[in-house]
Amino acid sequence: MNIDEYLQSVPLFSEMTNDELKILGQSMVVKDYPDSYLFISEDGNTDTFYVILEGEVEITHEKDTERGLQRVSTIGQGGMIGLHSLIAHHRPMVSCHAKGKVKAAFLPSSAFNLLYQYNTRLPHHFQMIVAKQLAADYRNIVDELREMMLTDDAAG
Amino acid sequence: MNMTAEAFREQFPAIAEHCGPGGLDDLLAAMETRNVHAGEAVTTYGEYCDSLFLVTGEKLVSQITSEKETIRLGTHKKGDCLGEVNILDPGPSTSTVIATDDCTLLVLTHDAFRKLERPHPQMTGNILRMLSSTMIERCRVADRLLFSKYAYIEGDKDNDSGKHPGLIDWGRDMLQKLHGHKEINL
Repeated sequence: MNIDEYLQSVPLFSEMTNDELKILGQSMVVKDYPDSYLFISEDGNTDTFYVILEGEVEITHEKDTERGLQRVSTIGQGGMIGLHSLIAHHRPMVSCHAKGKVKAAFLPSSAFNLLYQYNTRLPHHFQMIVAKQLAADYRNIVDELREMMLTDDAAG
Repeated sequence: MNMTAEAFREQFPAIAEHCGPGGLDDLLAAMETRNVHAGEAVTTYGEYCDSLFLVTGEKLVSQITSEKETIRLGTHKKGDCLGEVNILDPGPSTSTVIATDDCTLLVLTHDAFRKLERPHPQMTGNILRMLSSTMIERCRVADRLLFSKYAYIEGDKDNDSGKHPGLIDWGRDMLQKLHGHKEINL
């Protein structure tokens, strides 16, 4: 499968033109990963963005918690990890590892920054995609907190 | 709009630092001025909004409400911005913001911002990055707090959030941080 053809089917990338997706696809590398492969670790920095093409990736959190390892969620085909790393270089809050064999396309932040220099519209659109995903995450957090705070049980 | 580039640089340095002279002039031209009367809502929780608001005058209060209760989050004063999430992705507002006095705001809509992309890709790219970084920091602090103590964990019999002492204070603190009313220390 061509990565750009695949990206065309992901709603989040709908803002990009086919030409932009082609350039983005050419900048990404498709690779097979073994079971338990650690894509992102809480113990290290990450600078790579992945799109899951086949298989599943489990997201966990363990550091600085009173409760030990927490399984946050599992993402499958079309899921994206490491999106924040393209914008900000913080230590990740979660770890992501392969649950079985996984095929994924990756884009290092260095490649993203190169794109940023030679083609101004593509990274801008890509950055807008990151922003939309961030906005969705933010709204989810606020909504869940609001619900928790304003329910009768919590208030009572 | 009446604000000069010099006054804008003084009041909103975090945005102005990304603007060259031509860029700032066009940014100011793309903004609208909105006069709000005391008691009037600038945003309403859950209602569609597509704009970033820059506060140039008196204070506004930010709160989250339900039919029964109101959680006051804090105030926005002169030089503050609000609506970061809405300019990035137009959609439902995450809080209700009400003017406490008559107030003047600069308004930059999502569409107006996008129109600046072609003539000023570097300026808009940097502003986009700045706003995204703010969102990342707020999401990270929420994640960190959620993971640290009170997070819901599937299958945990002690999950009942109402049993956690101090939950309401903790939740209010987090909401205040998410809306930029408290400093984030990571």
